[in-house]
Amino acid sequence: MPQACWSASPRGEYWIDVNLGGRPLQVLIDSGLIDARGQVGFSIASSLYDKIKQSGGFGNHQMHTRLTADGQISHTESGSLDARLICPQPHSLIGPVVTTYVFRGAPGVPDRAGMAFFHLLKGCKVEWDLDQRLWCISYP
Amino acid sequence: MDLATYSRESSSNRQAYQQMRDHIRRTYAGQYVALTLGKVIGAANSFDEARDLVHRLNPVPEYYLVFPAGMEPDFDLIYDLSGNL
Repeated sequence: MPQACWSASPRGEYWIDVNLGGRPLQVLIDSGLIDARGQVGFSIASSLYDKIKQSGGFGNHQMHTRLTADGQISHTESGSLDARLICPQPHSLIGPVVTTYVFRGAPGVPDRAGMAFFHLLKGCKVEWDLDQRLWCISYP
Repeated sequence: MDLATYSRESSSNRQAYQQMRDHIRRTYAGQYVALTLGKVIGAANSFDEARDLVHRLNPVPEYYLVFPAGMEPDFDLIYDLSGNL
């Protein structure tokens, strides 16, 4: 299977390239964004979320309850859209198109991809090269 | 909202929803439904309008859900452990 790889940033973060509803975006891989139903794949800045919402870019919306690390539980809305990986080199769409929900994130928090997004990538595999600090996804 | 409130309210609303599921799907097809305090308080053609129905209550309930009538609402807690940084 072909493979796309992303290197860790100097801070040790992994930012991957995705297309969210037709918009290219870099999102931080966040293993702490976990949705038991496997539907919420991303959290994006509230400004971008509102822009997509105003342009009619979301399908359905839902209200969720969200637990953050400080123990706070709050309501957060989400909207559904189609998402797809973008290979960083060359810059091209790869892998399956997945329909997932996107959180309206808190201000100042980076755009993030949660575990649900990866679990929706049918037929794909993640290979995390710890020594080389590479996050690679093989896709059909 | 604290964890005890969430646990209590999500459980009671889930139970109420399970009894009303077929009615909700029939009656509010194509609309967004606002669910709180164990009952449907209304439905609207858009998500924001349905949420406004909740916000007009006095007091505004601590726990509520807004969802498309044809879909299961999300009663589960989503962990967003970096979401408050």
